Amino acid sequence: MIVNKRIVLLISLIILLCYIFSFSVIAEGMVEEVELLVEGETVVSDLVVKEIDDNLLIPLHILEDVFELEVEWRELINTINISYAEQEIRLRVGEKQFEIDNEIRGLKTAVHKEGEQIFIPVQFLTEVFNYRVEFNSGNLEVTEASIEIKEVSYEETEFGEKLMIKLSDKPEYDIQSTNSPEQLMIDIYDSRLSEGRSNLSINNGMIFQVRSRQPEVDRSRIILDLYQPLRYNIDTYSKNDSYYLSFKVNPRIIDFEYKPQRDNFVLVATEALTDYQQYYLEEDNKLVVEFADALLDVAENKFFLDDRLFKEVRLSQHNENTEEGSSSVKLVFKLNEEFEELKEDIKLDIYSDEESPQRLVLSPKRPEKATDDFAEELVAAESEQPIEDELFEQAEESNVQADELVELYEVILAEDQEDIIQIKTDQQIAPFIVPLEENSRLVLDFPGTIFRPVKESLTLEEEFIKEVRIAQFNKEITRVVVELEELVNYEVMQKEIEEGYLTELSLNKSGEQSVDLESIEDKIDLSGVDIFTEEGFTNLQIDLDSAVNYEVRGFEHPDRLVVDIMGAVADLDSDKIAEAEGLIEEVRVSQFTINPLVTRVVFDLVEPVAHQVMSEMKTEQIELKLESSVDEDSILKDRLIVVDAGHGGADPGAIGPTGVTEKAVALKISQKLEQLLTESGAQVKMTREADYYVSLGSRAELANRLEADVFVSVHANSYRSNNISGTETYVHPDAHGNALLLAKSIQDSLVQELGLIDRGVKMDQLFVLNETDMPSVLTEVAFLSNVEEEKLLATSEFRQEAAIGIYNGLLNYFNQVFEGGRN
Amino acid sequence: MKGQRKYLFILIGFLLALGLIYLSLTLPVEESKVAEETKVVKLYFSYDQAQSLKVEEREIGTKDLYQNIIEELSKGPTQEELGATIPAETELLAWDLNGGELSLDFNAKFQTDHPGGSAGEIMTIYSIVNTMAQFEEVERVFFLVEGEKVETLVGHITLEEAVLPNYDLVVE
Repeated sequence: MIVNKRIVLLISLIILLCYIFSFSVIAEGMVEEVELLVEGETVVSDLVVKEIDDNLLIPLHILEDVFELEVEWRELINTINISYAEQEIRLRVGEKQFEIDNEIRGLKTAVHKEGEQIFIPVQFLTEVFNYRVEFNSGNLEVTEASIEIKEVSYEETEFGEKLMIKLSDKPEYDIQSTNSPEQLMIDIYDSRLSEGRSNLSINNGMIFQVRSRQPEVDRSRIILDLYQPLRYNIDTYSKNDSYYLSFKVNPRIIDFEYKPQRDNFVLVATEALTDYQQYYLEEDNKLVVEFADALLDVAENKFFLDDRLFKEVRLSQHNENTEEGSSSVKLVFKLNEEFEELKEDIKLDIYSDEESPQRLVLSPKRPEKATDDFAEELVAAESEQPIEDELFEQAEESNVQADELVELYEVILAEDQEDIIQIKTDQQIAPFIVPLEENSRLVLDFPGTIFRPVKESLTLEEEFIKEVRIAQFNKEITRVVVELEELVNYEVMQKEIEEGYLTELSLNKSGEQSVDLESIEDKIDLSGVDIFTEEGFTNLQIDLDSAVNYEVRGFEHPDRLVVDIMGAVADLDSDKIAEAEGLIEEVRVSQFTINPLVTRVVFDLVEPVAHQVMSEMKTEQIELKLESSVDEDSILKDRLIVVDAGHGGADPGAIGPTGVTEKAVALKISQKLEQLLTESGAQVKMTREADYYVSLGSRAELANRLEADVFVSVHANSYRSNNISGTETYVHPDAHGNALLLAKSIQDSLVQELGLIDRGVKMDQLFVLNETDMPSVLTEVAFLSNVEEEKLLATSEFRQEAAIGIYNGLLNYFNQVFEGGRN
Repeated sequence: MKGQRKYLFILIGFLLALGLIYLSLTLPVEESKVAEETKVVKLYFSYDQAQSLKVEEREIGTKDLYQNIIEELSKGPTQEELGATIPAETELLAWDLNGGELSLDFNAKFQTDHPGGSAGEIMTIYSIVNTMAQFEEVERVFFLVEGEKVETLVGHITLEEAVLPNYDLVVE
């Protein structure tokens, strides 16, 4: 009996369930017949549709029959595959979403199957094909926005960079810009994207990417993700039955060069500069060249010239009408007062370089008086003024004269020894040598010589010789100019060779003295150069074995402190010289001169810093104190930066061919970075301070808990083969605005500082970047798996350079974000 | 007669049994012929300074397809311009396919022999995911090492969730 009761209960339950279910089926299954109109014309007059939860569903076959789409129904997995404009779309029965090109998008109601019939929400037509759908009084009207956006492309030619939007009709549009994230949005009304959503990756330093989106069925939006605000011109025109919206980025001036040898100036832009005018400003005694609609993108904007006519040249950006995005660049030449009365004659010949039209050459027409004086100048020796063809005409006219001249065949560098410059002549000839302190150059004049090629220059790999230039100075003097990083001692020797005579100029680099320093009497030895950093101060100390006189001077470009120690010899083991740290970029000790005996210690500085001499006039211990650069104006002051040294402890990270570990390199660079940042007033938190293991999760968690301003993870890269090299920086794939700017900024300054291959900013799902809430980047400084780069990573100098690169990147970032450092 | 019939039955029974044994011996042979079937599969290897992936096509046995693919990937490419992406001693211990998600369980060598670095890791992960995702049944790949979930392979790319293929890396 009990069993029977249970059965009855079960049956009645089933019946009850069936009722409920059938009711719900009835509630869902409102079937209707409607008239389907596409663009105002009746296509199907008795279309069976369903209404579920106030949402209209249409039969799947309509997509094929009416909208001519390729539809594939896969019974087994209840899936619909649709191909549309090279996109794969996937719907599943019972799912309130669909997949389009690996992206999932929601639907208001699920795909429904009833018997053999499949119904899809009409919303799908809007979501994917951007149809406007209206349903009232038994009519289902489907219409399209009238303008079709056929193509969005980005063109980079020598005539400029522009974004081209190809349309089927003349558009009405609006442009809006936002600052964070930095974006420009072009809204095109009554339009639809015929290719669907798309992304164009541009990555040219101004525009990161261009995205095409359809925020509403009848409004398309082209979004430009920017690194920085842009100046642009926008224009519509029609061509071959299509309309174009052309968004042209104003040309950027990317380089300015002063060419004293050629006596001209060169402006390099992203495209040929054509719109400019030249005028003279009476009140300031200035010559101005103004470029309309241009953007200035040159790091240095002021140049002091070693020139009789011009004192300085300055480049500047002027934004007179920011609303419309127009701006001009002015190139201002400040004239020396003595030529004021000649201003009528002073002009620049401006023309574009025939071979590369992006180069604009500005060649000054010098008034006669200025030219004469100019030619007499020693420096003017390198200009083309005196010689060239004229000389040869003269030489050929009078063979006698040419015969009397000694031939200077060539100037080369000694094999294997780039600090010896060899000059070959056909007869013995004694040069006059003039060292010029001001520009650190050596000038060698060979009187009574002729140099047939007239002009030549050697660019060297040797770091302290910048360039060697050879030129016929006048009718009978050939001049060799050796441009040096800093003046050094030199020796000249001559010897007879097969072709004639060889004059050898040997330059004495530090530590390679040809004079035996040991043999010098009454010398004072250096016993050490030390750097101490504490509480935001950097202290420098030079120890000697007896008291010395010394002189301390600060210089700019590059920022450095120079200590000259009288009577001392630079005979010091490199391990007695402290590793660069804190505000010091590099330490160099060299024998500046031998007679008199002067040792020079140079501290290259990361940035301009005031110094104080703490020691006595004559001392055995020279002490200098650098003022901390923390000032109230420092953009880094009180910024909270989490520095994450990659790997650690049991996790060594990558290991180089000779065994250098990533964890060690990452920690050292991070510590140097910490010091630089702390000295600029930033608050720095390290995720690890020594060689121990820290999980990835807790690294990110630390940054999130502290609400850090930025998170920087320092790594060294690796790959299976050792021929891969360079610097790259990672950012989260969804990053935009500040995070992108941070990545770009750090990558750029690292590349600039280290000079390795630029692998660019990359986007990927990296663990620490996924978990952090603030702008975060992971930088792979160089490849440990590469033999050369492993060697670099093992040196303290390179690690300091890497830290400086990241530091400068952070500085640029904060400057752009918080001071608006925008044009 | 009864006795003879009985023997006849035994004989027939014996012959049947022999037949069955014969069949059971020959059938596996036929099966292994089926297993030798192959198909052309796209393998993604490192290209362009480990910044892209490029396809090398190879004929691979369809029985134990996923294991075979990992084995082929671990052998590295034949073309000089391409680079290997996974350690040579990598083995696929097990796999499971569930609603488009392919879980791959690798041996410890896959992790311990990896040279590290973001660039290297990206090549490894996407070479596997992109290769597997060429099959319609695979949408994404979930990585396991010795049966355990891992945060990352060697400290960079997150493996806490299944990884979708990255076609931006691919060059034709």
